[in-house]
Amino acid sequence: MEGLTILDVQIDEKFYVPESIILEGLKFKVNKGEIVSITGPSGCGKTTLLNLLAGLDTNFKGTVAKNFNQATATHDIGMVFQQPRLMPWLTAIENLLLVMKGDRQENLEICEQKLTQVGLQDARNYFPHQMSGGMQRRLSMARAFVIEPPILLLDEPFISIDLATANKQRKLLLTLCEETKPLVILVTHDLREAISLSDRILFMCNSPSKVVGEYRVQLKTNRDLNDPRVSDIYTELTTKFSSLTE
Amino acid sequence: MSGTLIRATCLAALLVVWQVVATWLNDPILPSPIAVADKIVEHFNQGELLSHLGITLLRVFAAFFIAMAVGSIVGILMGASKTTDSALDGILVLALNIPALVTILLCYIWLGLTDVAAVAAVALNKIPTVTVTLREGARAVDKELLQVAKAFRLSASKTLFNVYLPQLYPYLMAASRNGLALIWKIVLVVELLGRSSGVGFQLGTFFQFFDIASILAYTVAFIVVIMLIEQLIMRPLDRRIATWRV
Repeated sequence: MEGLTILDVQIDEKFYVPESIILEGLKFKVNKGEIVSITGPSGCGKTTLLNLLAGLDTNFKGTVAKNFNQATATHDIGMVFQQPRLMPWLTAIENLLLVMKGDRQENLEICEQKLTQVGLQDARNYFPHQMSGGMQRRLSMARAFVIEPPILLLDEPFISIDLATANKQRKLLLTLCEETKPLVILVTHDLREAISLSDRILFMCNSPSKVVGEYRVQLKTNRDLNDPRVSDIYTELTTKFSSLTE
Repeated sequence: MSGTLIRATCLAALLVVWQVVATWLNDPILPSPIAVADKIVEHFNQGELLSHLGITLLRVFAAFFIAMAVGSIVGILMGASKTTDSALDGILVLALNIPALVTILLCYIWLGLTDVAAVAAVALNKIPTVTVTLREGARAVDKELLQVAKAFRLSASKTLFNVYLPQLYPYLMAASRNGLALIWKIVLVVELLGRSSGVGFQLGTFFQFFDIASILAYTVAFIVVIMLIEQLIMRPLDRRIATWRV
């Protein structure tokens, strides 16, 4: 199964108003188990692209082909947003149960396990407003993983949180990925984050935007933001793509 | 707890003042609380108090549920769509400004002196205010949470009941409370004008005989029932919503 293309994206044209085209001739493919970061200047249409991949916005010219085993998957995608976006009227466990399909008793067990995995077993019956920001983000991550999606979309999930918490969340993401090995698309404007987390980095240019560059990260083990190798690659990439990195 | 104590003390003080003034006046124009209590027992024992109360409550509930259902649906539609809002806004403003008495008279003339006309008149008086409240609620619905529902492929019914409607609960609650308060007052007028049963009809009859003690007896009995509904239904519902509201 390794090397099989799961996500085949071809966006011919995407705009909200015809005068200003956001994405044009954007294409890329992602294989099973790959973690791909998409980065680029702010306002270049990263979130727009993610909404197209998620099927939240279907108003565009082009195709997003998702190739996965439909018999075993209940969902095509899981998603983590910039903000946790939890339902304030549901407790932690109910927020997970909400997105599950099928037998409730079975789901309850799976959800409990996922809560434990992200360290929220004691917060099972907390409402989101009773949890800290970090806990809410972990719950949001658990929600995306609990459905075991073949494709996981993350929209700058570690933005606007302190460094220590962000690093914990990044580790958690990699741990959770180890288990189910979904294809991951991570939208980020933080190049160091992209280097430390992903197998491949796609660079987008200013709008009308497309993929203008690609970099394969060869760090297989011990990924860490503070790894000197991350810094080396960072320097290399900022020189190479100086116009695209802030 | 001290709040309850203060409230009880004030109510008791009011009763004492009433009793003192009534004793001092010694005139049938202001019967004492004890005389009113005697009347309540008397009417209760004769059996007609409960039956009239029951009929009035039935009309209150019928009008309440019709007004809440119609008002909520129209309000949500208006809040969700600008076109519907522009189309119905003029009619809504008109409806808000029609005097209750006019609606009642027209319903009786057009539909006859029937319970259908009575309930319709009350519901028509309440629908516009429910609509206004729920329109506000629908306008305030968090689109980001609806995106979550879409991304996690929730079914239409799950989205409606677990994501959309919970955001409207506070507005539904406000509309219900104001609704009940307004409706039971209008129901009495409707009964006075065109029905031969119910608390309103009885009050009209006592008015013709200047039977002030009986008027007050019916009023007190009815207020107690409405307060029980508030305590036993509205407050617990309110508390449930308050558990997740920040």
